[in-house]
Amino acid sequence: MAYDVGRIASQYINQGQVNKEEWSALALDAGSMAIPGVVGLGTIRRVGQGLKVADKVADAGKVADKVGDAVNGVSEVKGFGKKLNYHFKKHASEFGTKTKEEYGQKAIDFIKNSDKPGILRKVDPEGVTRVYDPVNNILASYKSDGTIKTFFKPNPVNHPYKTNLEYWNAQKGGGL
Amino acid sequence: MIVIEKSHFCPVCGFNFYKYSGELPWNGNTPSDDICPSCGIQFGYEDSIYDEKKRNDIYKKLRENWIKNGMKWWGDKEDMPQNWDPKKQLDNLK
Repeated sequence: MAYDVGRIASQYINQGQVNKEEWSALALDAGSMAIPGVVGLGTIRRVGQGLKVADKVADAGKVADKVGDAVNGVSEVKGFGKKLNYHFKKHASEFGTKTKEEYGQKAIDFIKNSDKPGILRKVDPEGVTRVYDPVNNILASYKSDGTIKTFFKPNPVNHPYKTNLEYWNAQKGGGL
Repeated sequence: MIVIEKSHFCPVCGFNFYKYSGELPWNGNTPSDDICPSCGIQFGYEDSIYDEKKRNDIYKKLRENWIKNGMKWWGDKEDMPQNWDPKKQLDNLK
């Protein structure tokens, strides 16, 4: 919701439907709601720099757009569906998980929190998103409808690369 | 009429993966990330390499291991086709 405020402000300003001066007052409030780092903008309004702030909010809106896309994507995580059995069987021990539910929930939590800095992300030509945490060596993939495809800890014993980062770098797709 | 293509089969054990899951093991250069219930390979993990010759070498090694270990069904029993014959299944790769 907060991201949407910044996004809408950005769209209107960028499309020229409302000029920056008109938007400045509203944008200030929207910016403080949309992006935690812009909370101090109210102070700037009080010193009459509305135009500059509107520019900042427009930029913030663009950032929010990207972050919002990622958050919106992961907010729809549905779980593995019928494929949970096999991914649990193959990968559960990598996470020390004993039950399918525990493993499935770990996957959901990982993807939902994958908008953090340091988590790498690619979308392949089929629209499958892959996310990789190189610090904890955790990789997950999910379809655009939120269905999880896999969740595991890559291991060079099993894949054809010397390191797990090389394995990740070889995955097809573009970063967000 | 269902057209069966080579891309439908698991390249390690010859299982008709498309018939089972409705997805190809690999769609062009994009892996499904799925696991073959017959031999247990995860498409896009053990075979995550884009050079065809190198990938085929990986399949050959995995196939040899699977055969050496008795061609056991990896997945759940209920997913095993009736009268499953792993030797006959390997013929799908010829």
